[in-house]
Amino acid sequence: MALDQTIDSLEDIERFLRTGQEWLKKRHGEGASGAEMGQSRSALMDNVIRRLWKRASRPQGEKEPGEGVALLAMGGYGREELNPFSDIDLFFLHLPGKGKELGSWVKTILHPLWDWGLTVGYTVQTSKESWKAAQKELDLLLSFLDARWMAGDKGAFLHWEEEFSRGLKGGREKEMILQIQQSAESRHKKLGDSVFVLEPEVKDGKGGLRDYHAALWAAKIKFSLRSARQIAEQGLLSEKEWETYSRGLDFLWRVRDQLHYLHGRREDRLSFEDQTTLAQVLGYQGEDPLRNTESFLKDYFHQALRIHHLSWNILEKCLNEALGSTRTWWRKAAPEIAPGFLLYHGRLALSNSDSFDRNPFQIWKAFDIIHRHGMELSAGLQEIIAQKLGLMNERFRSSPESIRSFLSYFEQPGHLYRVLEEMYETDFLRRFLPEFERVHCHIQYDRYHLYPVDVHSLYAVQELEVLGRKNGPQPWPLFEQLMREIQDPPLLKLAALLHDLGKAEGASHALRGEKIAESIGERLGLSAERIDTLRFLVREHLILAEIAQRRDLNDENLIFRFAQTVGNRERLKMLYLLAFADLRAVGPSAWTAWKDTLLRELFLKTLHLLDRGEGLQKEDQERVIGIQREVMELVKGQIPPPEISEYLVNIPRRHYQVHEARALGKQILMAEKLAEQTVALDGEEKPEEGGDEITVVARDEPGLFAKICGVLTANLLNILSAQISTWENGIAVDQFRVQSLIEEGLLQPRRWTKLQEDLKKVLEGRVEVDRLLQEVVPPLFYRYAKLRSAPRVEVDNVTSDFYTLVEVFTYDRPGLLYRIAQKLFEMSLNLWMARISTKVDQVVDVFYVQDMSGAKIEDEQKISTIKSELLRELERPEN
Amino acid sequence: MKKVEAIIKPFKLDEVKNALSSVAVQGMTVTEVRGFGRQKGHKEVYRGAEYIVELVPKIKIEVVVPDGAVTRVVETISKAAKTGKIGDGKIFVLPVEEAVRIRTGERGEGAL
Repeated sequence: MALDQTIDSLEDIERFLRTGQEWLKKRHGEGASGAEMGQSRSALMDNVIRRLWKRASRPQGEKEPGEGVALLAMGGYGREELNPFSDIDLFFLHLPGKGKELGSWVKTILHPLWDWGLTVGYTVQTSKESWKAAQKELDLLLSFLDARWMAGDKGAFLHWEEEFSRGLKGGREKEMILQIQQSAESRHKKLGDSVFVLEPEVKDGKGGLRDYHAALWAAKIKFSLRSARQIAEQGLLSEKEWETYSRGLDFLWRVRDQLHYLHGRREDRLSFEDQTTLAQVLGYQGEDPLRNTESFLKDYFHQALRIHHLSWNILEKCLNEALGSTRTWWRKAAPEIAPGFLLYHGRLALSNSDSFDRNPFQIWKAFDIIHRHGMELSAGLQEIIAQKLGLMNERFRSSPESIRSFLSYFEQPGHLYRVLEEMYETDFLRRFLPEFERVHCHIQYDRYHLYPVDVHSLYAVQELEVLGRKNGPQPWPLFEQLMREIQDPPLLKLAALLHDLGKAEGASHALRGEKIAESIGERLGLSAERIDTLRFLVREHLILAEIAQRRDLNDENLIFRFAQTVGNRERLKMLYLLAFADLRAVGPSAWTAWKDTLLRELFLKTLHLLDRGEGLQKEDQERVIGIQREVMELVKGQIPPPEISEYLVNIPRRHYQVHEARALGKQILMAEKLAEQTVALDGEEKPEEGGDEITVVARDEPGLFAKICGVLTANLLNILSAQISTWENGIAVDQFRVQSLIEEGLLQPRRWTKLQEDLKKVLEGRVEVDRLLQEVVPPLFYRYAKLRSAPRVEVDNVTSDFYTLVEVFTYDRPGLLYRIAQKLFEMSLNLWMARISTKVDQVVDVFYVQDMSGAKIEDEQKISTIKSELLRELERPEN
Repeated sequence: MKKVEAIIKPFKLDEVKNALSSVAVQGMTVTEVRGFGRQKGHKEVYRGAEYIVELVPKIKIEVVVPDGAVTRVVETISKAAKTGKIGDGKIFVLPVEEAVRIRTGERGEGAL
């Protein structure tokens, strides 16, 4: 497209512009490289603007408009990196004194551009003015850095350029580069401070094009580079690194181009919706659109990571290096920090670049040093490791030396996260643990997860590591304390690293992850016990959060079952810590005070149960399952199995602790009868145990227990002990050990029938208990009316998180239990469980109660009333 | 139109959601909130360190429905969210002046 000498009309120029733009769009659609497109667009604009310049510079009589004026392209345009709707920045450089008359002349060039829909910014200044302005505003200075002559007085431009360069060398380079770096860092912070965000900003985000600009500007300031290509020549990046860098830039430019075309205007945010469209258009065309988008994003983050990483390398070099170009970075004399290793500007480097060729295991030495001191790898050493990954074969991975080293980073105190981060950035982690390959940059395509799985896992480890430090950034007193208490912190950290490895396949990653963790554990030679715990943690790592948020934490049976699943306090603490680290590492909004409160409630309630220790071992859980199977066998002939299961699920775990399968089976059959009758009764004579056993099954209602006790008393039975429980389907199952107060056997037909009848009548409301008691021969009660030690009533709100325990200590006499139970009922207390026992003539009754709204009784006033009322009842002489 | 605002126990969310969709309420806003009513917070203790929970975690559900549907919706939420125990929550009904569907500009009940 050569410039010809004729002056074009505006229409011609516009036509030229449009044709060019269409051709460019077509080229983009054909897959032209981002770099090529950027340059071609600039060339097109150059052409258009030069034609406009020519038009405007036509001599008009004596005047030569535009004499002594140079037109410079600045910013992205100056760099020849234009995207379809990028801003075009022009600088009209003029001689002093000419400013006023240029004002309107300049507009003759700009107006058409604006009319044609281009966003053109401009400045009209003298050389001095420009330098003055640049000193005040860094952004302006930086756009001058990219200036390129376009049209007009070349001499003026060269003169300006020389002055500008000289001005730059004024000794403030370091300060300027620092400012560039800081401005980049604060830009990152505003956008989430991570490469991995849900909706990446292609220009301003971490790993975006601005990072490249920052690096380029720093290099231009420090080393007077003219173009990006010189970065490699200057030795700021190796040839290989430069290739990677270019590829990354190309990718980002293509994405940005596509975004601009998609929206028809400047748009730099890769929104959620756009991600799917772009994936499709940019060639990710598998069958599953969701997978395509994930692949595209995987690539995007891959490139963005590289861009950020390499840009930062360049920035650091510019900050740290002395003036003057030397390509021999590596040979600088530096102190050896360990045999074969030296520190290069605070980063770890090799003394000899072929150390690893001779002995690949030297790589572990590098990580050892990092673990001990916490420094970063130099760009050079990172590059070498990445190149030598081929040496890490199966033998390397499985050798005892490798395994020992890897584990030592977890076991010994040191900078674990730093080591893992460096392993990650050099791709070493993926080689050593191939399971990481499948989840590399694998993001979960939804709005909640911020980081890809592998990065998320590293962050989870970091969260745990921070807890272990004395002065963490945020105070988490409970978690810090738990971290100190657990016995195997290294295993917990390993679990954090591996917990999501099952995610590459999609759903139910916990179980798959368990297998993966097991296999890795075996490879690392962990003990069977540790592998067991590792598997447990990975398999159950979601359960705390699930239960806390989706189940009723006031249901004691639920907590009991959960406690059985966990099995011991050590595991519970580790699980809780893992849940914390996992949530914190998901993204900034995943961990909230809301979740914190719920998780802590679940943790503490479960811990309290485990502290009391009964019925919560793994063996107990297995025992329950065994009993359930047995019951099923016993009863399935008489009740359909699904209904049996229904019962089994509704029976509280505590109930399983005190009853055998045979008894449970019987109780279930009795419960079935409640469909037709009010109450089911069963009795067994047990003379060898000093009494008879009675089981009463009825629909639970307030005051039920009191009524039953009253009836038993009225039937001349002394209650020695009782186990009462309420099933979750509203069925009360009360088992009594009773002693007859008269000679006649309990199971004699007359007596047994009367007992059944009395129970029925009372529970159906046809007769009051008091009436029955009045009919009993009075003298009976005086037989035991001997006053002994004073009765005691204790109210305990500490032992259980769910119930208030009312404990009664007194001497035994008939009717006692009835009177206590009746009193509790009169005080509007709901009875859930009770343990009644008699030793010789002393009674210890423990009642588990709640108020009518299902809460514990914690009001001081009420507690005091309970005590005094009960005591009054106990001290009352019998009548 | 009325807005029905319900504060419920967190674990009841799925049940209430399902119950509402079965009476043809399609849209709702869900927020994680903390608060207290008569169910005061409580004190948790671990190794002598006290953790006072004054604000109990709940879920707030908001739906906007035509006047005629209010009773049904309130009953549905009530039934699904109830456990009979303290802390079940509350439902409030507020008047709504206008509703607009942003995409189409529809107003009034048609926007619901």
